[in-house]
Amino acid sequence: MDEFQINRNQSWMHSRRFWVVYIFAIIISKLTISLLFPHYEYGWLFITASHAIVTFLGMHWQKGIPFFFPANQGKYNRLTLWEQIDKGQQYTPTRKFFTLVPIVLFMITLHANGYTGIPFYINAISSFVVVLSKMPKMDRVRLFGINKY
Amino acid sequence: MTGLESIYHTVFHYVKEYFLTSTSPNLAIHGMMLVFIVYLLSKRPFKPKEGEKLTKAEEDQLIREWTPLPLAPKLTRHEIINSNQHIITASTPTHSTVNDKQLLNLARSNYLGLIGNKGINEIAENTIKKYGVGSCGPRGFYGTIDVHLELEKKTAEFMKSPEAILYSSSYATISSAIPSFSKIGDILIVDKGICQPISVGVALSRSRIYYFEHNNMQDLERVLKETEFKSNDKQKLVRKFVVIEGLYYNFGDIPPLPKILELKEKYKFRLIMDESHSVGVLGKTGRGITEHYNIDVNSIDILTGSYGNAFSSGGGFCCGSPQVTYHQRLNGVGYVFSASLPPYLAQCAKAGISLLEENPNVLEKLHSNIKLYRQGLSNIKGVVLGGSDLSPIIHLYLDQSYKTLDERDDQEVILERVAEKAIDHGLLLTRAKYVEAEKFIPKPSIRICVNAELTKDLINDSVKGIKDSFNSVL
Repeated sequence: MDEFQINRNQSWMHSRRFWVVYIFAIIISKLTISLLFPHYEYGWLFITASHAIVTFLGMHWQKGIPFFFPANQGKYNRLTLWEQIDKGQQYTPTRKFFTLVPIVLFMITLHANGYTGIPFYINAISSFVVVLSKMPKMDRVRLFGINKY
Repeated sequence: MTGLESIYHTVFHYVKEYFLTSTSPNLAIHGMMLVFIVYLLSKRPFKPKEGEKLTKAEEDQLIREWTPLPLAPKLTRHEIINSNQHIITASTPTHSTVNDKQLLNLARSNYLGLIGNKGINEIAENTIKKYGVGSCGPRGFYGTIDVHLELEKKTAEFMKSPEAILYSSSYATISSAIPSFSKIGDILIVDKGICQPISVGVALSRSRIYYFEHNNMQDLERVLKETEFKSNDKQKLVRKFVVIEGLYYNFGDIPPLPKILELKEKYKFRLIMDESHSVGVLGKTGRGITEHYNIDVNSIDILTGSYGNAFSSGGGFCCGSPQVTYHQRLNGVGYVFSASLPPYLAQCAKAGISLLEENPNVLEKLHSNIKLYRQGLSNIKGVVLGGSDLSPIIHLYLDQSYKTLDERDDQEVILERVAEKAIDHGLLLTRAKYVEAEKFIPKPSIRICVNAELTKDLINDSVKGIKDSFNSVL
């Protein structure tokens, strides 16, 4: 692909090295929590919830190309980062990977923090929102016109 | 228990707990998730259809909200003041015709009065008949004609320098000579009073830039001390240049060159000097500021000049050692990538140099004219004269009482009115116009360029005209 056609906002997401770094970053943050607060039992829940918040804001709320100029003449101004990946192609390896991460985090948290009570609902809702936003049916859909322009 | 064993036991424990000991909701949710993962992974990539069409209401709303941007950005006040122009239809050595009216032209840098010279016009005509108007090719690429080589030789002889290289535009001369020598990481020490082409060259070089106050040697020494290399330092040795002008276009004064050369010996730097306005003006035979100070021209490493001012032709040159000029033949951007100087301009420049060599008395005439102007203009009420007594460029500034006008443009407006008034007195004057983006813009002024061809009567008339136009506005 020509250099000028690359959307640098999302091109880094395809790198396998970045995936490895991403996974290790999650593991290391969990280890940090375990080391700093050995008796805190909701470590995984904290990771899942904060991961959900950060990725939701980064991938599904912020639109356009915030860090690079010129921003492709406004081509991506109305698309979130998630919609820019692979030029809107669905079920590509990158998209599958970034969908798998919150699912696996959900499963781990489920195992670690139980199946009932408030921890379960926090875990379920945060993961549900993040995974649902990544589904092809939700591509370029703005529920109730929220964050439309 | 060894490490490997403990890991094995942990994994075994988890697997056992997961599949055997866990109770109902656990396995169900995890199973669902696993099924979902498999479903996800099994999907083939596809591209969804382009988004649904906008509804009529949405379309209307978008159209209503849309306001077109102007094609060109709005002019700033500075640009509006600067946009006033006159169209010259004919020229003699002293006068220009604007709107069918002969005006004494004191705005152009025609110091020796060679514009409209009959002999030079004839040479230009003959050269065009022989060579046409130019090859449109760069010097290294079908652009070189014998007249270019002759002019290079002639210039080197005139400047008493080993070699010279020809550029096709005087603006491009200095702005490509500086970047061809000073690269990223090198040090440029620059006078704050330099004119625009030099600052373009300085900016293009991408070097580390230090500025010193205009013509202030203490400040230059301070900067030199700041950038001095220390022997025990591990820093990389880089090239260091000082950039000055032979005759400052923006101020009309000359640098204290002997002192700078003293500092050069002491602090070890190379000197880049632009003599665009001093060649053909300063010195006994017009060889520039080095002759004025009786200094060997070879003590200046890179010396650039212009044929466009005193010699009333076009193009520029750079003098220096053979290494300096040879380096620019492959690295001077303006030399390599732009079409060569039209042959007739080269011939005109050569003829101009010859005329000056044959008749150095024209310089005496020029300097006596400068003296007459400075005497005449020195006692206008509300006006301060700038620059040195040697300079054919005379800046007329508004004096202290106008400092209360805090907006620079207010002063410019007054000066513009003076220039317009001067047309009624048969004079073509100009403000010194600067680009708004320049870093250090000098004070607003009216710039008068003295011409060697002016007679005493013309000078007296024009001085009176300038006085009257100032008096009627101020």
